[in-house]
Amino acid sequence: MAAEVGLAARAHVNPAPELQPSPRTPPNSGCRLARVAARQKLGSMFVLRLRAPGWPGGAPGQFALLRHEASARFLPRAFSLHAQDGELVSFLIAPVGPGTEELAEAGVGEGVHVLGPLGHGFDLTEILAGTPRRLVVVGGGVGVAPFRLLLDRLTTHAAATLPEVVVLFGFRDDVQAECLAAFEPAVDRLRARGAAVELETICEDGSLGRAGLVTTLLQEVGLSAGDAILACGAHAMCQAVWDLGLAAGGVRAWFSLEAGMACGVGSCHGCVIRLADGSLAKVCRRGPVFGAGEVFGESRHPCAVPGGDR
Amino acid sequence: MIDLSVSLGPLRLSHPLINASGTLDLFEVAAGLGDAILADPPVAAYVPKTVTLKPRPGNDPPRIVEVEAGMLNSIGLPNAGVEAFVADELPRLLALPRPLILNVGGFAPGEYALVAARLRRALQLHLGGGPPDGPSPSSDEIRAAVGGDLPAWTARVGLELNVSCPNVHSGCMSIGADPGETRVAVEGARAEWPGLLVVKLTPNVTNVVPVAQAAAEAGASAISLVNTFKGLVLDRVTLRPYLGGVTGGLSGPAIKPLALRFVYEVAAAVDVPLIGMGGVTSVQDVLEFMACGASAVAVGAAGFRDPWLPARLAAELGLALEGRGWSLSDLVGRAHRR
Repeated sequence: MAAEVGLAARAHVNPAPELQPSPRTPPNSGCRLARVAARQKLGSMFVLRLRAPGWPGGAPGQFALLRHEASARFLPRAFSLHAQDGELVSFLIAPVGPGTEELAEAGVGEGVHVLGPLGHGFDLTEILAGTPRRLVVVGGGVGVAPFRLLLDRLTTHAAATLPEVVVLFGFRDDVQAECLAAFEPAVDRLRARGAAVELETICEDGSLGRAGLVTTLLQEVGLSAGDAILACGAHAMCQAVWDLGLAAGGVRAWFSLEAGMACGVGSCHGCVIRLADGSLAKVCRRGPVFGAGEVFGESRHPCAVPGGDR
Repeated sequence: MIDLSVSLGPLRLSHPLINASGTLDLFEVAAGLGDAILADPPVAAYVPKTVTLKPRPGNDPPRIVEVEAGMLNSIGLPNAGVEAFVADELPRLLALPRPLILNVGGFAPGEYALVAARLRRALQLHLGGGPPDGPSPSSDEIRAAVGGDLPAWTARVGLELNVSCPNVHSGCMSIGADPGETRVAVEGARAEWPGLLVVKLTPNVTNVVPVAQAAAEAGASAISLVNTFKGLVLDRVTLRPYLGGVTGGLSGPAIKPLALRFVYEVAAAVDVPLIGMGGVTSVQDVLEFMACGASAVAVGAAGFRDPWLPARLAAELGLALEGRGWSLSDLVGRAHRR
């Protein structure tokens, strides 16, 4: 958070600041025009890799707003950071509507406006400081997107300091599950560093074996006190995951949530959700990663949180 | 180099581009993307989000939805109320290197005067110009002040009355839809506010001209228009209203021709300066609003895509005028001249 600009403006002690902007300097925009460096189709999703000059780097769970420079849509779309390497930043995108389909068709070299990194992601320092028994990573559908960057970040920690990492992904079908190719190298790198990593996948239609939801896997893994859950997916999935966490007891959890948003920076107040205490919070600024308790409460009552998709 | 500066009452703007209230929160942008935007805000004057007498939580989500060529919002004026605004927001707003136009909403015509008086007292405390808790100036004193003997702080801070929000269940837009109620609201605020007094009008009326005339006669020193157009979007599956507030306000390029018509008609009917807005995304839009009679132009929903857009449009406006060999006065009102 930025520091308050403070009370120095009390003009008894401070003359009025210079009110005029510097003449004719080109605006120092925080909105970057990036170029498509690569686009890799992975089943029904794709990884869009952008070269974003001056990209400052972000944390897992943070997001950016993307809009193709020739977009026919009015608003940008929000996507979790999927991977980054210097000024190259990647997003895992499911084409589900006109905005995402424009990005799915973006050719190498075409321009994409990028605003980010935005919001608060998974705070690994805070999560690991709780010395969790295991890190249980739960992703549903395109909600798996932020966990590539998370796995990459974990490889920067000494393996001896890491708990066991259990990655559970649920997909609609085997075509959607092809995005696993974007995660397996990161899992392999983490294992190569000596960390204990388990990766399990399930599909709703049984096309990868038995049919089931990611919560099926979570029940099989068996949560217990000391586990830390990091989850991203549909709201109903997050609710179900937290119900399992509450049932186990002593489990901490963080959820990356989604809401329709216009600005991504806190200006529009459009992306608010109602928290467990009844207050409203901007997903873009206070989130998108929230502690489970603040969203769902600490008791096992479903709490309606409207989603962002119409 | 073309002089792009414009005057709105006692406020002097280095160029005509500002933001529409509720579409740019400089402090939130700074918290997420860095403090540079506070050192060089991308607007010639900064218009914060509407403040009301009492705190408001705003409407239930979902609050926004994209439509063809625009979006609907049903935000509902969430804010912490004028007391918290004075304590928490005003100091950091006054530290910005730009003039301010504070935006005030109300649910009865008299509320605008109460909030205006509270803000004036706070500004006198912060910036000098009179005892902060002294009596309100008499209407004669205000008239004298408006005639040219203004407290120095009025060159830093103006006021905009939002009589046009479509997303609250009573007041606001219903006030701005009625010339008589608008007159009462503006007269009340004018009696408490010696500086720039902008009245922001709603397009959700049959004829905006009588409302604009009432505002000008009641002491408005400028008029801004338009606020959003009331609309409805259904959930595609359930076929019930999608937004938590049921209806919402339409903004974006979809409304630009509608907004231009309002600016054009009001410019022909009143003598006060106009701040034009409604679907501005490009320098061509800026040229068109100014040709219709706007002295300044506000960027609204398009600023959601890029908070720095107003500064870019100001630079492009200078180039566009240079290219045509025009001054700003050649441009403003051009559509009315034959």
